[in-house]
Amino acid sequence: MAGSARDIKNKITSTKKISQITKAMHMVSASKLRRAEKVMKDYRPFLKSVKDTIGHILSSNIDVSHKMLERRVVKKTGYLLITSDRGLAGGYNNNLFRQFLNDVKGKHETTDDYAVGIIGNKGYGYFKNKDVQIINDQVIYNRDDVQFIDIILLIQKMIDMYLLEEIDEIIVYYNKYVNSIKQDIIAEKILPVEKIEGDEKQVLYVLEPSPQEVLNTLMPVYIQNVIYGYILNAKASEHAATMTAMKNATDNAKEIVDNLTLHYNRARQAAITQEITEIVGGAAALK
Amino acid sequence: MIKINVVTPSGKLFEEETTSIIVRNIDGEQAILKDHIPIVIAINPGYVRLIKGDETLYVTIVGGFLEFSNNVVNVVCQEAEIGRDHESALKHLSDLRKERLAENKRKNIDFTKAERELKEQIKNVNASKYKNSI
Repeated sequence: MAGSARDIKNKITSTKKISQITKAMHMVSASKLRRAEKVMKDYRPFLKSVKDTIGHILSSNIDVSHKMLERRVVKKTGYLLITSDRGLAGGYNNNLFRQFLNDVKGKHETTDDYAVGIIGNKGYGYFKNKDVQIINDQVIYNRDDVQFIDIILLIQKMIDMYLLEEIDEIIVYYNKYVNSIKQDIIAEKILPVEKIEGDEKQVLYVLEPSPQEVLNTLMPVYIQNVIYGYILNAKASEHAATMTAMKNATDNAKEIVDNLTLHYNRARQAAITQEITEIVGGAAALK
Repeated sequence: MIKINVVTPSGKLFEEETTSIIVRNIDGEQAILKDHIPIVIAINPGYVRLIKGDETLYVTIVGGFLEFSNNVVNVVCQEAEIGRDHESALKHLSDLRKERLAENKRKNIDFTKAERELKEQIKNVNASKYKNSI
Protein backbone atom coordinates (compact mmCIF):
# COMPACT_ATOMS: atom_id res chain seq x y z
CA MET A 1 0.00 0.00 0.00
CA ALA A 2 2.80 2.36 0.87
CA GLY A 3 4.37 1.64 -2.56
CA SER A 4 1.30 2.81 -4.48
CA ALA A 5 1.16 5.98 -2.39
CA ARG A 6 4.74 6.72 -3.39
CA ASP A 7 3.88 6.07 -7.07
CA ILE A 8 1.04 8.51 -6.91
CA LYS A 9 3.27 11.05 -5.20
CA ASN A 10 5.79 10.76 -8.04
CA LYS A 11 3.08 11.31 -10.60
CA ILE A 12 1.85 14.36 -8.76
CA THR A 13 5.35 15.84 -8.82
CA SER A 14 5.85 15.24 -12.54
CA THR A 15 2.41 16.55 -13.47
CA LYS A 16 3.07 19.64 -11.42
CA LYS A 17 6.30 20.16 -13.32
CA ILE A 18 4.52 19.87 -16.66
CA SER A 19 1.95 22.38 -15.53
CA GLN A 20 4.76 24.75 -14.62
CA ILE A 21 6.16 24.42 -18.14
CA THR A 22 2.82 24.95 -19.83
CA LYS A 23 2.14 27.91 -17.60
CA ALA A 24 5.45 29.45 -18.60
CA MET A 25 4.67 28.79 -22.26
CA HIS A 26 1.30 30.44 -21.80
CA MET A 27 2.93 33.56 -20.47
CA VAL A 28 5.57 33.55 -23.18
CA SER A 29 2.92 33.44 -25.89
CA ALA A 30 0.95 36.12 -24.14
CA SER A 31 3.87 38.51 -24.36
CA LYS A 32 4.63 37.41 -27.92
CA LEU A 33 1.03 38.02 -28.85
CA ARG A 34 1.25 41.54 -27.56
CA ARG A 35 4.30 42.16 -29.72
CA ALA A 36 2.77 40.49 -32.78
CA GLU A 37 -0.34 42.60 -32.38
CA LYS A 38 1.77 45.73 -32.35
CA VAL A 39 3.72 44.72 -35.44
CA MET A 40 0.46 43.98 -37.21
CA LYS A 41 -0.96 47.39 -36.34
CA ASP A 42 2.25 49.22 -37.26
CA TYR A 43 2.20 47.57 -40.63
CA ARG A 44 -1.19 48.88 -41.68
CA PRO A 45 -0.11 52.44 -42.60
CA PHE A 46 2.65 51.02 -44.80
CA LEU A 47 0.23 48.86 -46.74
CA LYS A 48 -2.19 51.74 -46.99
CA SER A 49 0.36 54.05 -48.57
CA VAL A 50 1.16 51.47 -51.26
CA LYS A 51 -2.53 50.90 -51.83
CA ASP A 52 -3.31 54.60 -52.03
CA THR A 53 -0.61 55.16 -54.61
CA ILE A 54 -1.83 52.34 -56.83
CA GLY A 55 -5.40 53.48 -56.42
CA HIS A 56 -4.28 56.93 -57.46
CA ILE A 57 -2.49 55.66 -60.57
CA LEU A 58 -5.47 53.58 -61.61
CA SER A 59 -7.98 56.34 -61.14
CA SER A 60 -5.94 59.06 -62.85
CA ASN A 61 -4.67 56.98 -65.78
CA ILE A 62 -7.39 55.09 -67.59
CA ASP A 63 -5.17 53.67 -70.31
CA VAL A 64 -2.96 51.57 -68.02
CA SER A 65 -3.57 47.89 -67.53
CA HIS A 66 -1.94 45.05 -65.73
CA LYS A 67 -2.27 41.30 -65.89
CA MET A 68 -2.94 41.19 -62.18
CA LEU A 69 -6.08 43.24 -62.66
CA GLU A 70 -7.52 41.07 -65.43
CA ARG A 71 -9.67 38.09 -64.78
CA ARG A 72 -9.11 35.07 -66.95
CA VAL A 73 -10.55 31.58 -67.23
CA VAL A 74 -9.30 29.55 -64.29
CA LYS A 75 -7.59 26.38 -65.39
CA LYS A 76 -5.26 25.99 -62.48
CA THR A 77 -5.43 27.52 -59.03
CA GLY A 78 -2.53 28.39 -56.79
CA TYR A 79 -3.07 28.16 -53.06
CA LEU A 80 -0.91 29.68 -50.39
CA LEU A 81 -1.25 28.18 -46.93
CA ILE A 82 0.09 30.08 -43.96
CA THR A 83 0.84 27.64 -41.17
CA SER A 84 3.11 27.76 -38.14
CA ASP A 85 6.53 26.31 -37.52
CA ARG A 86 5.63 24.55 -34.32
CA GLY A 87 2.79 22.65 -32.79
CA LEU A 88 1.37 22.99 -29.29
CA ALA A 89 -1.10 25.51 -30.61
CA GLY A 90 -4.33 23.54 -30.39
CA GLY A 91 -6.11 23.15 -33.69
CA TYR A 92 -4.33 26.06 -35.31
CA ASN A 93 -2.77 24.08 -38.15
CA ASN A 94 -5.05 21.06 -38.30
CA ASN A 95 -8.23 23.07 -38.71
CA LEU A 96 -6.62 24.93 -41.57
CA PHE A 97 -5.56 21.71 -43.29
CA ARG A 98 -9.02 20.23 -42.88
CA GLN A 99 -10.77 23.27 -44.26
CA PHE A 100 -8.36 23.49 -47.16
CA LEU A 101 -8.67 19.80 -48.10
CA ASN A 102 -12.45 20.02 -47.87
CA ASP A 103 -12.59 23.06 -50.14
CA VAL A 104 -10.19 21.51 -52.62
CA LYS A 105 -12.14 18.26 -52.77
CA GLY A 106 -15.28 20.11 -53.71
CA LYS A 107 -13.64 22.41 -56.20
CA HIS A 108 -11.14 20.38 -58.18
CA GLU A 109 -11.41 17.03 -59.88
CA THR A 110 -7.74 16.11 -60.10
CA THR A 111 -4.62 17.18 -58.26
CA ASP A 112 -3.30 18.66 -61.51
CA ASP A 113 -5.82 21.47 -61.19
CA TYR A 114 -4.06 23.15 -58.32
CA ALA A 115 -0.68 23.75 -56.77
CA VAL A 116 0.09 24.71 -53.20
CA GLY A 117 2.67 27.04 -51.74
CA ILE A 118 3.21 26.49 -48.05
CA ILE A 119 4.68 28.80 -45.45
CA GLY A 120 5.58 27.17 -42.16
CA ASN A 121 7.24 23.97 -41.11
CA LYS A 122 4.07 22.18 -39.97
CA GLY A 123 2.24 22.65 -43.23
CA TYR A 124 5.19 21.51 -45.27
CA GLY A 125 5.58 18.40 -43.13
CA TYR A 126 1.89 17.63 -43.51
CA PHE A 127 1.67 17.97 -47.28
CA LYS A 128 5.11 16.62 -48.15
CA ASN A 129 3.95 13.04 -48.44
CA LYS A 130 0.50 13.82 -49.75
CA ASP A 131 -0.66 13.73 -53.33
CA VAL A 132 -0.43 17.48 -53.77
CA GLN A 133 1.73 19.64 -56.01
CA ILE A 134 3.89 21.78 -53.77
CA ILE A 135 5.37 24.95 -55.25
CA ASN A 136 8.22 25.46 -52.80
CA ASP A 137 10.79 22.67 -52.89
CA GLN A 138 12.01 23.37 -49.37
CA VAL A 139 10.55 24.48 -46.08
CA ILE A 140 9.71 28.15 -45.81
CA TYR A 141 10.01 28.90 -42.14
CA ASN A 142 7.53 31.13 -40.43
CA ARG A 143 9.55 32.47 -37.54
CA ASP A 144 8.27 34.58 -34.71
CA ASP A 145 10.30 37.52 -35.94
CA VAL A 146 9.28 36.88 -39.52
CA GLN A 147 10.93 39.13 -42.06
CA PHE A 148 10.35 39.84 -45.68
CA ILE A 149 13.34 37.91 -46.94
CA ASP A 150 12.10 34.70 -45.33
CA ILE A 151 9.08 34.53 -47.55
CA ILE A 152 9.90 36.65 -50.58
CA LEU A 153 11.29 33.79 -52.66
CA LEU A 154 8.08 31.77 -52.49
CA ILE A 155 5.79 34.72 -53.04
CA GLN A 156 7.82 35.96 -55.99
CA LYS A 157 7.73 32.48 -57.49
CA MET A 158 3.96 32.35 -57.21
CA ILE A 159 3.59 35.81 -58.71
CA ASP A 160 5.85 34.81 -61.59
CA MET A 161 3.76 31.70 -62.14
CA TYR A 162 0.68 33.86 -62.26
CA LEU A 163 2.21 36.27 -64.74
CA LEU A 164 3.38 33.38 -66.94
CA GLU A 165 -0.20 32.04 -66.80
CA GLU A 166 0.85 28.79 -65.20
CA ILE A 167 -1.71 29.46 -62.54
CA ASP A 168 -4.75 31.67 -63.03
CA GLU A 169 -5.67 32.72 -59.52
CA ILE A 170 -4.08 32.73 -56.09
CA ILE A 171 -6.01 32.06 -52.91
CA VAL A 172 -4.49 32.48 -49.46
CA TYR A 173 -5.57 30.37 -46.48
CA TYR A 174 -4.74 31.72 -43.08
CA ASN A 175 -5.98 32.08 -39.53
CA LYS A 176 -7.39 35.54 -39.24
CA TYR A 177 -6.91 37.18 -35.90
CA VAL A 178 -10.22 38.41 -34.51
CA ASN A 179 -9.28 38.66 -30.85
CA SER A 180 -7.17 36.68 -28.42
CA ILE A 181 -9.74 33.90 -28.05
CA LYS A 182 -11.14 33.84 -31.56
CA GLN A 183 -9.34 33.12 -34.80
CA ASP A 184 -11.13 32.37 -38.04
CA ILE A 185 -9.82 30.42 -40.98
CA ILE A 186 -10.13 32.64 -44.01
CA ALA A 187 -9.67 31.90 -47.69
CA GLU A 188 -8.82 35.14 -49.42
CA LYS A 189 -8.41 35.54 -53.15
CA ILE A 190 -5.56 37.92 -53.83
CA LEU A 191 -4.96 37.43 -57.52
CA PRO A 192 -6.42 38.63 -59.77
CA VAL A 193 -6.93 41.82 -57.80
CA GLU A 194 -10.60 42.68 -57.68
CA LYS A 195 -10.40 46.37 -57.03
CA ILE A 196 -7.98 48.75 -55.46
CA GLU A 197 -9.42 51.86 -54.01
CA GLY A 198 -7.20 54.37 -52.37
CA ASP A 199 -8.03 57.62 -50.73
CA GLU A 200 -8.38 60.43 -53.19
CA LYS A 201 -5.12 62.31 -53.34
CA GLN A 202 -5.33 66.01 -53.86
CA VAL A 203 -2.09 66.42 -55.78
CA LEU A 204 -1.58 65.25 -59.32
CA TYR A 205 1.62 63.28 -59.59
CA VAL A 206 4.01 62.94 -62.47
CA LEU A 207 4.79 59.26 -62.90
CA GLU A 208 8.32 58.28 -63.82
CA PRO A 209 9.34 56.49 -66.08
CA SER A 210 5.71 56.04 -67.21
CA PRO A 211 2.40 55.23 -65.53
CA GLN A 212 2.57 51.72 -66.94
CA GLU A 213 6.13 51.19 -65.68
CA VAL A 214 5.28 52.43 -62.23
CA LEU A 215 2.28 50.13 -62.13
CA ASN A 216 4.40 47.20 -63.33
CA THR A 217 6.75 47.75 -60.42
CA LEU A 218 4.10 48.46 -57.86
CA MET A 219 1.66 45.64 -58.50
CA PRO A 220 4.02 42.83 -57.42
CA VAL A 221 5.15 44.97 -54.49
CA TYR A 222 1.54 45.46 -53.50
CA ILE A 223 0.73 41.74 -53.68
CA GLN A 224 3.84 40.86 -51.69
CA ASN A 225 2.87 43.35 -49.06
CA VAL A 226 -0.68 42.11 -48.83
CA ILE A 227 0.59 38.57 -48.28
CA TYR A 228 3.09 39.79 -45.73
CA GLY A 229 0.23 41.51 -43.92
CA TYR A 230 -1.65 38.20 -43.83
CA ILE A 231 1.40 36.49 -42.42
CA LEU A 232 1.68 39.03 -39.63
CA ASN A 233 -2.00 38.52 -38.92
CA ALA A 234 -1.58 34.74 -38.89
CA LYS A 235 1.36 35.14 -36.56
CA ALA A 236 -0.78 36.97 -34.03
CA SER A 237 -3.37 34.20 -34.35
CA GLU A 238 -0.72 31.59 -33.78
CA HIS A 239 0.39 33.13 -30.51
CA ALA A 240 -3.22 33.53 -29.42
CA ALA A 241 -3.91 29.88 -30.25
CA THR A 242 -0.80 28.76 -28.36
CA MET A 243 -1.88 30.86 -25.44
CA THR A 244 -5.32 29.22 -25.31
CA ALA A 245 -3.89 25.73 -25.78
CA MET A 246 -1.37 26.22 -23.01
CA LYS A 247 -3.99 27.68 -20.69
CA ASN A 248 -6.11 24.57 -21.24
CA ALA A 249 -3.12 22.32 -20.67
CA THR A 250 -2.35 24.07 -17.39
CA ASP A 251 -5.97 23.75 -16.25
CA ASN A 252 -6.02 20.06 -17.18
CA ALA A 253 -2.79 19.44 -15.32
CA LYS A 254 -4.26 21.12 -12.28
CA GLU A 255 -7.30 18.88 -12.48
CA ILE A 256 -5.08 15.81 -12.68
CA VAL A 257 -3.08 16.96 -9.67
CA ASP A 258 -6.28 17.48 -7.68
CA ASN A 259 -7.51 14.02 -8.59
CA LEU A 260 -4.19 12.43 -7.81
CA THR A 261 -3.96 14.21 -4.47
CA LEU A 262 -7.34 12.77 -3.55
CA HIS A 263 -6.12 9.30 -4.47
CA TYR A 264 -2.88 9.84 -2.60
CA ASN A 265 -4.70 10.85 0.56
CA ARG A 266 -7.02 7.89 0.25
CA ALA A 267 -4.05 5.52 -0.12
CA ARG A 268 -2.33 7.13 2.85
CA GLN A 269 -5.48 6.86 4.92
CA ALA A 270 -5.87 3.21 3.96
CA ALA A 271 -2.27 2.50 4.97
CA ILE A 272 -2.78 4.14 8.38
CA THR A 273 -6.06 2.30 8.94
CA GLN A 274 -4.38 -0.94 8.08
CA GLU A 275 -1.54 -0.26 10.49
CA ILE A 276 -3.95 0.55 13.31
CA THR A 277 -5.91 -2.60 12.58
CA GLU A 278 -2.69 -4.60 12.70
CA ILE A 279 -1.63 -3.07 16.03
CA VAL A 280 -5.08 -3.53 17.54
CA GLY A 281 -5.16 -7.08 16.19
CA GLY A 282 -1.72 -7.76 17.64
CA ALA A 283 -2.68 -6.34 21.04
CA ALA A 284 -5.88 -8.39 21.08
CA ALA A 285 -3.89 -11.54 20.31
CA LEU A 286 -1.62 -10.91 23.34
CA LYS A 287 -4.53 -10.79 25.78
CA MET B 1 15.25 71.76 -47.44
CA ILE B 2 13.65 68.47 -48.37
CA LYS B 3 12.42 66.05 -45.74
CA ILE B 4 12.93 62.40 -46.51
CA ASN B 5 11.25 59.40 -44.87
CA VAL B 6 12.26 55.86 -45.68
CA VAL B 7 9.60 53.35 -44.69
CA THR B 8 9.89 49.56 -44.81
CA PRO B 9 7.44 46.88 -43.63
CA SER B 10 9.27 46.70 -40.31
CA GLY B 11 8.74 50.38 -39.63
CA LYS B 12 10.34 53.72 -40.29
CA LEU B 13 13.97 53.21 -41.14
CA PHE B 14 15.25 56.66 -41.67
CA GLU B 15 14.23 60.29 -41.41
CA GLU B 16 16.45 63.14 -42.51
CA GLU B 17 16.56 66.59 -44.05
CA THR B 18 18.60 67.18 -47.16
CA THR B 19 19.11 69.85 -49.77
CA SER B 20 18.65 67.61 -52.80
CA ILE B 21 18.28 63.99 -53.74
CA ILE B 22 19.26 61.95 -56.77
CA VAL B 23 17.20 58.94 -57.64
CA ARG B 24 18.52 56.06 -59.66
CA ASN B 25 16.00 53.68 -61.19
CA ILE B 26 15.85 51.42 -64.22
CA ASP B 27 16.46 54.05 -66.84
CA GLY B 28 18.93 56.43 -65.27
CA GLU B 29 19.41 59.06 -62.65
CA GLN B 30 17.16 61.94 -61.82
CA ALA B 31 17.70 64.78 -59.44
CA ILE B 32 14.97 66.27 -57.32
CA LEU B 33 15.46 69.71 -55.87
CA LYS B 34 13.28 71.82 -53.65
CA ASP B 35 9.82 72.68 -55.05
CA HIS B 36 9.86 69.98 -57.67
CA ILE B 37 6.41 69.11 -58.99
CA PRO B 38 4.76 66.13 -57.30
CA ILE B 39 6.23 62.95 -58.70
CA VAL B 40 6.13 59.20 -58.20
CA ILE B 41 9.15 57.16 -59.26
CA ALA B 42 9.28 53.39 -59.30
CA ILE B 43 12.56 51.97 -58.01
CA ASN B 44 13.33 48.30 -58.45
CA PRO B 45 16.18 48.03 -57.74
CA GLY B 46 18.00 51.31 -57.39
CA TYR B 47 19.11 53.88 -54.89
CA VAL B 48 18.44 57.33 -53.57
CA ARG B 49 21.42 59.59 -53.02
CA LEU B 50 21.05 62.24 -50.39
CA ILE B 51 23.16 65.34 -50.74
CA LYS B 52 23.59 67.66 -47.82
CA GLY B 53 26.50 70.03 -48.16
CA ASP B 54 29.62 67.93 -48.69
CA GLU B 55 28.04 64.80 -47.35
CA THR B 56 26.37 62.18 -49.51
CA LEU B 57 24.49 59.15 -48.28
CA TYR B 58 23.19 56.25 -50.30
CA VAL B 59 19.92 54.53 -49.55
CA THR B 60 19.84 51.31 -51.52
CA ILE B 61 16.33 50.13 -52.27
CA VAL B 62 14.82 46.86 -53.36
CA GLY B 63 11.24 46.90 -54.60
CA GLY B 64 9.53 50.14 -53.89
CA PHE B 65 8.71 53.63 -54.98
CA LEU B 66 9.43 57.21 -54.14
CA GLU B 67 6.77 59.81 -53.75
CA PHE B 68 7.50 63.51 -53.69
CA SER B 69 5.06 66.23 -52.80
CA ASN B 70 5.26 69.48 -50.82
CA ASN B 71 9.00 69.02 -50.29
CA VAL B 72 8.46 65.74 -48.47
CA VAL B 73 9.91 62.58 -49.94
CA ASN B 74 8.35 59.29 -48.93
CA VAL B 75 10.32 56.26 -49.93
CA VAL B 76 8.21 53.15 -49.49
CA CYS B 77 10.10 49.93 -50.09
CA GLN B 78 10.48 46.35 -49.00
CA GLU B 79 14.12 46.49 -48.11
CA ALA B 80 16.48 49.38 -47.75
CA GLU B 81 19.97 49.89 -46.50
CA ILE B 82 21.92 53.04 -45.79
CA GLY B 83 25.59 53.33 -46.59
CA ARG B 84 28.40 55.61 -47.69
CA ASP B 85 28.28 54.18 -51.19
CA HIS B 86 25.88 52.11 -53.22
CA GLU B 87 28.05 49.02 -53.59
CA SER B 88 28.77 48.55 -49.91
CA ALA B 89 25.13 49.06 -48.98
CA LEU B 90 24.05 46.56 -51.59
CA LYS B 91 26.65 44.09 -50.40
CA HIS B 92 25.56 44.55 -46.81
CA LEU B 93 21.96 43.91 -47.82
CA SER B 94 22.76 40.68 -49.63
CA ASP B 95 25.00 39.56 -46.74
CA LEU B 96 22.12 40.14 -44.36
CA ARG B 97 19.88 38.02 -46.54
CA LYS B 98 22.31 35.15 -46.73
CA GLU B 99 22.97 35.24 -43.01
CA ARG B 100 19.30 35.22 -42.26
CA LEU B 101 18.61 32.24 -44.49
CA ALA B 102 21.50 30.29 -42.97
CA GLU B 103 20.27 31.18 -39.49
CA ASN B 104 16.77 30.01 -40.36
CA LYS B 105 18.11 26.61 -41.19
CA ARG B 106 20.23 26.30 -38.07
CA LYS B 107 17.56 27.52 -35.69
CA ASN B 108 14.96 25.15 -36.93
CA ILE B 109 17.19 22.11 -36.65
CA ASP B 110 17.69 23.00 -32.99
CA PHE B 111 14.01 23.54 -32.54
CA THR B 112 13.00 20.23 -34.08
CA LYS B 113 15.39 18.44 -31.76
CA ALA B 114 14.01 20.19 -28.69
CA GLU B 115 10.43 19.53 -29.76
CA ARG B 116 11.10 15.83 -30.24
CA GLU B 117 12.65 15.64 -26.80
CA LEU B 118 9.65 17.31 -25.22
CA LYS B 119 7.26 14.95 -26.98
CA GLU B 120 9.22 11.97 -25.72
CA GLN B 121 9.13 13.26 -22.19
CA ILE B 122 5.41 13.85 -22.28
CA LYS B 123 4.99 10.32 -23.54
CA ASN B 124 7.15 8.93 -20.74
CA VAL B 125 5.23 10.72 -18.06
CA ASN B 126 2.02 9.37 -19.55
CA ALA B 127 0.02 12.25 -18.19
CA SER B 128 -2.79 12.14 -20.74
CA LYS B 129 -3.37 8.43 -20.24
CA TYR B 130 -3.49 8.74 -16.50
CA LYS B 131 -6.28 11.25 -16.56
CA ASN B 132 -8.64 8.87 -18.35
CA SER B 133 -7.87 5.95 -16.07
CA ILE B 134 -8.99 7.79 -12.97
